[in-house]
Amino acid sequence: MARLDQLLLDPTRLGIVSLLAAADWAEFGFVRDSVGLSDSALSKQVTTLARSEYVEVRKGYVGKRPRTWLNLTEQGGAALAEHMAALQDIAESARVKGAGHQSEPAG
Amino acid sequence: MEMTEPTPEEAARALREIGQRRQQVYRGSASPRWMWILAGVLVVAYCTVSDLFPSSALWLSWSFTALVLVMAVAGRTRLGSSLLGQRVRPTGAGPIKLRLLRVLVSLAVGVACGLTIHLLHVPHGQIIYGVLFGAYIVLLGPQVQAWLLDRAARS
Repeated sequence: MARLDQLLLDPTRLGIVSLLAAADWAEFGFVRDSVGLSDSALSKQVTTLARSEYVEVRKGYVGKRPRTWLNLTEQGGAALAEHMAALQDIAESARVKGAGHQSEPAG
Repeated sequence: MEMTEPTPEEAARALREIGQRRQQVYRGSASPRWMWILAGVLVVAYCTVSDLFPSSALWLSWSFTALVLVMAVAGRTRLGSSLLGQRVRPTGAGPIKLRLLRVLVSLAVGVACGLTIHLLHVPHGQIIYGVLFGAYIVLLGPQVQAWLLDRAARS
């Protein structure tokens, strides 16, 4: 059975990781606007995810402006896949239990 | 640290949110308006110069092709994407189909415009072709892209 990921139980971190799972890379500003966080709040979450090697951070310049790009690592992708499978198990088991209760004879 | 298991409702909600994030990425990858305007203006300029100065058509075609290739390659890099105003690059099989479909739609419009002008024997047909195709890029390009991205996000 798939296991839930401790880090991804936080909805904000799950939001960041699932956003990056759909992208080859994303600018820091895009992720910030999409998940609705401040620069510092996102920076903190990204540091946590990068420490666990879920997210890779690359810095560069576009003209004279500094730019930060984020992408999900293989490890991050695998963690998200397992977390999603665990969430599916939980949601599915409740559905099966519900169906079981309905089919039991009354009395 | 103790891990609290989400309730089935919370798990279902989290899964829905993951799907919504995917849609956010696709919608966020649309090209900015200025890119469409620039592309439309370039097409009009190219067709106008080709029509008025047929002797320069060859080098102009090569320059135009080179520019398109450079932009296509740049769009695949982080730096190039940022320069072209794209803040995110979607992953997976969707975008490949999406690009093919986009090229096919553009080709169909281009061929239809070209054929109509050719059959009607309009003077300065290339300029008219450029204006029609440029207008399509500027006015309908963003809508077609938004529709295709929406389809890719749902696939």
